[in-house]
Amino acid sequence: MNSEFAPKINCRFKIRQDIDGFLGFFQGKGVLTFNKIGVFIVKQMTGEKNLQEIGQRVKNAFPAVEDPMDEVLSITKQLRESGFF
Amino acid sequence: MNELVSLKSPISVNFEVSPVCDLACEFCFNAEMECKKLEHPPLKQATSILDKLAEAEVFEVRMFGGEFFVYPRWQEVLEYANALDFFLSFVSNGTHINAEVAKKLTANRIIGGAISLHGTKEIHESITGAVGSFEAAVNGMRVCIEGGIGISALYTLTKGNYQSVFSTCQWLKANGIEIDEINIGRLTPYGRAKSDWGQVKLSLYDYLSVFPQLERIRNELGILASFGDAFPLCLLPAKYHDYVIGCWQGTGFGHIDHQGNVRSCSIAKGSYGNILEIPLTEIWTEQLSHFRSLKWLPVKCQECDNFCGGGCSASCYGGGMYAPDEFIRQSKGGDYEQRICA
Repeated sequence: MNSEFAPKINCRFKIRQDIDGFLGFFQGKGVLTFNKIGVFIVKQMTGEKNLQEIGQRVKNAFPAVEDPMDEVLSITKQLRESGFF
Repeated sequence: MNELVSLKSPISVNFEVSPVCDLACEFCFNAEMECKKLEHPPLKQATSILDKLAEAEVFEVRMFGGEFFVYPRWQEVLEYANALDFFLSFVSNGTHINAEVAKKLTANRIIGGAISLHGTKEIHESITGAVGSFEAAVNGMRVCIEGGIGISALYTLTKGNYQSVFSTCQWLKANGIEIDEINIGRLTPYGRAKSDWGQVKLSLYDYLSVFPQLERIRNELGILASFGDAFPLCLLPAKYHDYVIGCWQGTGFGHIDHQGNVRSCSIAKGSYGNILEIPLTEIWTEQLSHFRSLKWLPVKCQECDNFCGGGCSASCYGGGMYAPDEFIRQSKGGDYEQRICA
């Protein structure tokens, strides 16, 4: 996937912390579960930052994550396949 | 063993803003409340319930009834709910929705809703008991669609209409009513249908005959057609399994009545608690633990690899909140099986 791609979620959505992890409700599309890093990544997907920049932000916010770009790409791939962009 | 997931609160609720309805559908599960004679609750009650739903971080509120649009202050309810940032939707008989109403809906960020339609004109009006209700419902669909609101048609099966699902969709298509989907509902032994359940109930074979119609609707008309309620997958040919949306009662879905009582199902009666007295998160996490354990289901359902929730609890006559589907049978030893429900 091109790291210059700047993802933007194409629907209204909200995320809440639940008993076990986080739940995201995407209007007209469905519900997804996330961990804390996933929530951070999804909230960056406003169309202003590209994947590389989002990866850098993940690295800064979660220094313990071994491969931040892999996390970003993995979530981006899932969202793209589900028609969220 | 299967077990339902625990969430802190429902993802989506049907909120019965008012129990009052102006139609008298022959199967209405709320009929014992005599919907036409009831009084509307005060606005403050509705807004207080919405506050409690917001506190519990419920995502989606589907305005429900009774009939939401006969509530005199429905616009204020909608605006209040929108200000609380809910995702909003509605379930309606459609007869009060005109272009002005549709505008108000989109102004409150509604992009989809559900309107009941139980057959072609003659069938629908024999079910609702109201002349003109078919045109009014179809017009409600039309103005919503023209206003950019996606519409699901809700079709509750009866002895009089179960063979007409395809022809109803065909009529809609031919008349330019481009619904997003048709959602088939089970006939349940509550309200008006309960008193003569033995005569009105559908057989398993009646239900099974609906699925080929759904297949034709998908293939020939290009309309997404599904069972909105649960159905025992063990009794359904595998090729139709993805026609059953199923039910997420007690996990992601809840029903809040006009007084604030919490149920896991809009049809089955009872209450797990009242959100005006106890936080919804407390009710949802503590009072439904037995329900989610599934220990009330037959063992074969608890152990099933293709878990469907044990079908539809509300289909079981006298079953209440903890009942397997009316068609699920239980082994009594040897080859002998019997239905659990009467």
